[in-house]
Amino acid sequence: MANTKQDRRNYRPILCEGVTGTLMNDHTEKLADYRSRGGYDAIRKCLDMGEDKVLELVKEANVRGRGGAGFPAGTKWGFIPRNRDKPHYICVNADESEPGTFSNRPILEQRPHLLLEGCLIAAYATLAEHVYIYIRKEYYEATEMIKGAIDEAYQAGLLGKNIFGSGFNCDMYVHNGAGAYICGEETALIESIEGKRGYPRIRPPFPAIQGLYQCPTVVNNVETLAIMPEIFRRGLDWYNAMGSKGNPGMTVYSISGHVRKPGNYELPLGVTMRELIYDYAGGIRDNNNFKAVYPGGSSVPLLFEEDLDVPMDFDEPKKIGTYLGSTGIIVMDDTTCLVWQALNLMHFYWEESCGQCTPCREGTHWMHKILTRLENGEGRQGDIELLESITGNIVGRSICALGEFSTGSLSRTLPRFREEFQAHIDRCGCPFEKDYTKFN
Amino acid sequence: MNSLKPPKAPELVAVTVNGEQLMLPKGENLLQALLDAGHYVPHYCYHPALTVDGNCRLCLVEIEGRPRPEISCNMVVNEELSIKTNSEMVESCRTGMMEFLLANHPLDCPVCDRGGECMLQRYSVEYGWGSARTSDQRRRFEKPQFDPLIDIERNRCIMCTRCVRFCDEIADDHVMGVFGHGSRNYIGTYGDGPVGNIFSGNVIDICPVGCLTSKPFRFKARVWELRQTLTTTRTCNGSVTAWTRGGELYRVTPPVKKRRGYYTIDEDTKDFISNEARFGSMYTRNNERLLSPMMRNAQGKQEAVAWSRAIDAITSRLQDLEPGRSCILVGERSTNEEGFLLGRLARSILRTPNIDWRMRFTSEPAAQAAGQALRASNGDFDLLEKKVYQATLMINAGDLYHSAPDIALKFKEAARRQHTSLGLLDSRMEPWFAEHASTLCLEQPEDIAGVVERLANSIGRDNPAGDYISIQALLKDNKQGLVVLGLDQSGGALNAALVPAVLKLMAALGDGWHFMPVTGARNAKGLFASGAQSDRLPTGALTEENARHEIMKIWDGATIHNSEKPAAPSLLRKAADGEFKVLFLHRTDELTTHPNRALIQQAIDKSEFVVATDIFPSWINRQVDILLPSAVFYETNSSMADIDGKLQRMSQGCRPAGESQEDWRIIESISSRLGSNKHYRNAHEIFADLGKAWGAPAPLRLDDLLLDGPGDQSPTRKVTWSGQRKRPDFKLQCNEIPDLSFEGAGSFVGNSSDTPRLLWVRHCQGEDHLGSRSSIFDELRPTPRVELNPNDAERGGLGEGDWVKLVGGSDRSSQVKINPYIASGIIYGSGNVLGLQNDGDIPGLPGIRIEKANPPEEASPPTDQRHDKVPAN
Repeated sequence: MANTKQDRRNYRPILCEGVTGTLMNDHTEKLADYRSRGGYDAIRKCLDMGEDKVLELVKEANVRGRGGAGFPAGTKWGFIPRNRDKPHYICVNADESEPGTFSNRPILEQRPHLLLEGCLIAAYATLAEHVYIYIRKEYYEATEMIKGAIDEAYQAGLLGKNIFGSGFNCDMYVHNGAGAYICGEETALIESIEGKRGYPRIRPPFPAIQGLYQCPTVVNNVETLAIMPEIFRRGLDWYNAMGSKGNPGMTVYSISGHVRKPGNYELPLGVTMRELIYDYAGGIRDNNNFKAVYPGGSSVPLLFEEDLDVPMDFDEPKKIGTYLGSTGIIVMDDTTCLVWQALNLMHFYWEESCGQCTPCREGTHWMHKILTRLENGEGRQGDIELLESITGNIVGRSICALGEFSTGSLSRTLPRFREEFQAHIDRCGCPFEKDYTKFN
Repeated sequence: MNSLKPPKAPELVAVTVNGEQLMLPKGENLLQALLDAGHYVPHYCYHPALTVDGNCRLCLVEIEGRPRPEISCNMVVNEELSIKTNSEMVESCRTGMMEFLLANHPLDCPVCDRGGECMLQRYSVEYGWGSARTSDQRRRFEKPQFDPLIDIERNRCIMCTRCVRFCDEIADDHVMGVFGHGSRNYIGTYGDGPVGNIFSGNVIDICPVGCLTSKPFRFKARVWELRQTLTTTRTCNGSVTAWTRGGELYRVTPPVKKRRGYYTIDEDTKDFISNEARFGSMYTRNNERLLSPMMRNAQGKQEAVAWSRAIDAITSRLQDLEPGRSCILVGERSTNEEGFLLGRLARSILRTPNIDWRMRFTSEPAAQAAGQALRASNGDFDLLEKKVYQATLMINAGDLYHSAPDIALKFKEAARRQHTSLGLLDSRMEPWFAEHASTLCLEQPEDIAGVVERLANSIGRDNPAGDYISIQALLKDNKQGLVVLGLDQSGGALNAALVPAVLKLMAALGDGWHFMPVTGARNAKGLFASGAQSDRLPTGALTEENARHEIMKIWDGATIHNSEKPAAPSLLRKAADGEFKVLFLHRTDELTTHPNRALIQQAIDKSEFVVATDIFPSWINRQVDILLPSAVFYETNSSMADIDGKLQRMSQGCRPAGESQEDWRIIESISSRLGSNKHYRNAHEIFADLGKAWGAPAPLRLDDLLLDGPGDQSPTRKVTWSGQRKRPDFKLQCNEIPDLSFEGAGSFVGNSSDTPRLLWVRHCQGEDHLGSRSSIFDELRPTPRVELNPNDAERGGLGEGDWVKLVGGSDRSSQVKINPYIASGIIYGSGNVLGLQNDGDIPGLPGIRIEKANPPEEASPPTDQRHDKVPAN
């Protein structure tokens, strides 16, 4: 598997063309541009292959879901019953609300047709005829662009009835969220599309059996679907040539925080954190020292100096207790107070907990109070043990994974930087001099 | 009903629970199966009657081979399961969840009404930490007042959403919801309106904590100070528990259950009772209650007298009265024992055939037909719940929601849960009901009997029944089913035509189909079976020589002859004609709201001597010669039967208030003074004789009717009660071949369908004799309302909420409600709520018209219908 440093440097971005190193550019790919690059050839190829072969190929490609858990997309599609007793649905999770994650945005804004084609492939493979693209309300530009792309595609006969004369029908709808973080959870997203309160559902039944409107449903991340057309266009070998073992392909890493060159970097999977920070993002700002990094959005446990050589794919970080998650990398230098950052994120999780199940609702509320106390210099001896105990009571006991996410900022930090927490208690306040304006 | 095939019983599979093998039904909810098997798993949000929500996370169990605990309420039993409910991991989950739930729970147990029956208290003791690790400010919510019956204290809420699911699913009224976000979540109602539906009181019972409590009971008493008495009320169909202290009623709840040694409200109860039973029964606290016997003095004024004088006066009048010159009218809420003793008094002692309970029906054929329908009844609610009936056809029972909400709920739930597929054949349906039906057929009232006949003719032969193919299919495609016939609408005007037609249909359908007549009359089945009906003896029909012979042996009395069998309507007519010297009105509540008030007035005037037993004075019993104060539902030892024929125990929680007496004692003392041969010392003896008369396979004992504990107890005493034997399977099901030779066909109205006709019912809720005494309902009494077909309303220029007057009926204004499920030309309203009075032919009120009226002055035109009050007049 060719995944050397040099290979990565030679990698030309595909999903978000030309964004590496910069946050955004103004270009939105129109249908004509996309078709000139071979757009909508992949779906035509799929239509020739037949549903089952497409599914086989996706399974073979081992496309790991880019939403966070890294669940193979082919396996997920394979759970959908192979009959048409009930209508099937595809839901595209474009509710990218994880703090520190902005990798879907360039795809939505710059290459909308790539996503649409990916959706068509997914719909074709899972016998679905309806695709819901659930975009967070704050991405109003992306919403407009996706809507524009859908209109274009309908006009060109690439959506709707009898696509390419194959008898395959597919309709797409854009659904905007209303600003809730929880609606990025797949079953809450389904509830939200149904017009209900965004509460995650208990499983079983899984969405593949009873999802949207009680029908078989696949919920996939934007990036997962955007990869599909390229796999069919360029072939399996091209895809499998990239990435690390068991994690083929590329992904968009969004790097933010205390680095010189924050931005989206599309790279083959398996790049190490050290490379990402020092080689691509230009190193730590102001020549400060590195302190900690969130490897996959704010909901996963942090990596520290000693963990920087871990390859960033879906399997390696698990071995040390963290996850690649949504590939939103937040780098913190040694001016950062870890209690303050934990409080900052706990505020987010307290604010965004849906409140359905006990551990997450009460746990985030309680931890937020404790961290506020610590940061304000009102900490008490025993608070650290209390925090540890509360995180222990949340993990694995909530309805959805978001309960566990709320403990991300604490679970690896507490043992590693216990003195820093203790200092807040002992010195009755935060030992760091903070200029919060810099973070914003 | 052995002929019916029950659905296949679930297969039992071995599941390892804490290392021990348990046989559990495959496919059932794991938590429920564990609870049923006696393995208690704590839970808050799980409720057997509601969908699984899985939010409290307290029922987590450890599954072998899985790293994380799983909620047992969302798992089904299968063979491979091996679970632990007491491992270290499970214990730590429970302690953790309890700590989370208590972290923001106020420490106000000393003033919380739930104290003593709170699941949070109980689990804190069993699974809690013992000490608090939180010292932060607790979360606080504002406290709204949105419902006159339900008090909400959001600080105590644990967000189990049982109340929300109850309203959405059981009450089928989407009023409650979760508001806010995250830890600021709270329970509320949309638009901050009241919960409003007629089952809303149940959210109080199913709330596991002190968030939703009963407003009328608020701060009145601590539960452990109260006595719990198992009994039943006039408006429910099942049993209830009356909670009393010092002879005063504090609250009425579904029956308490034994939960780990204590008898408390079962928060997992499936016995939902309507607000009518829960709050409407609080009439006993009204201070107008009769407390001593009253006798009319020489000046014609009623004055209090001693019991002995009252009984003397009655017996001296009854002694040597020639047979047939006395008449006993038995109210619907009389118990079986009272019916039995009154039957004996009439037949064996006074030698009169004039005893009947069917005053709810306004014409003689209607009452006779109702009696015959009861005779043919063999339906069974248990079979409905066990999914034995594949289909249920309800005919002319559109009023059930108003006249007997508890019965209506049973059918609605069976249809909603798809235990049975429901068909409706009616001239008016309740939308609440109709939405769950698979087949609807809306007909003019007078045409229903014809449709039933056509269906009967089409079954067995292959000729299609015209427009009624869907109902025909319902009847034909299902081998086992239930036909339900409503007897009440418009004073039973359709009975005379419908009962023979439906019985013909039953004959055509064959053995797999059962028949169940339903009526809002509380103890219809019991009074029918205990002989308080003119053509019945406790042992059987009056016409059967064997029955007469058997009862003579039991009563040890004189020969009973097969005599005429007048029903209550003709008895009232005869009384008005002055045929009776003595008129005995036993608990005749329904006469106070009888539409033909003039007839009743005349009956009282023309009878020489009128005796009444009652709880409160009314316009009728203020005029009687002797008024005897009787006991209310928790002061008497006796039994009733529900519409299904299941016997229910009424226990005595305290002695009757003041000088009032248990009713059976009053009748017994009159009977024994008049020279009865057999004396009863207590209700148990009467019930034993009733059992003999009914031919029960084993001797019946009153105490066997108790559910799972003594009828009367205190919640603090840990009771080990061994007095109960198995509850008898015996049900009052007559299953005889009815005699359909009653005179007079009786029809709705002869008019063509163009003229508007009134279809009226007797609401159980509202302004009847007892319900109006429950001050809790003052706020909630429904606005008099008439329902119209949308087309009729449009033609008359009427819209939803307009005020109208019935011309030719009551002169009271009422509000228009538009109901799409109502036949054209029909005006549907409640006889007693509208205060319907008419001296002539009541059914249908020919010539009735509606015209616009001004809203009554006191009632401001309500925007939200839930807020409206009854206009005072």
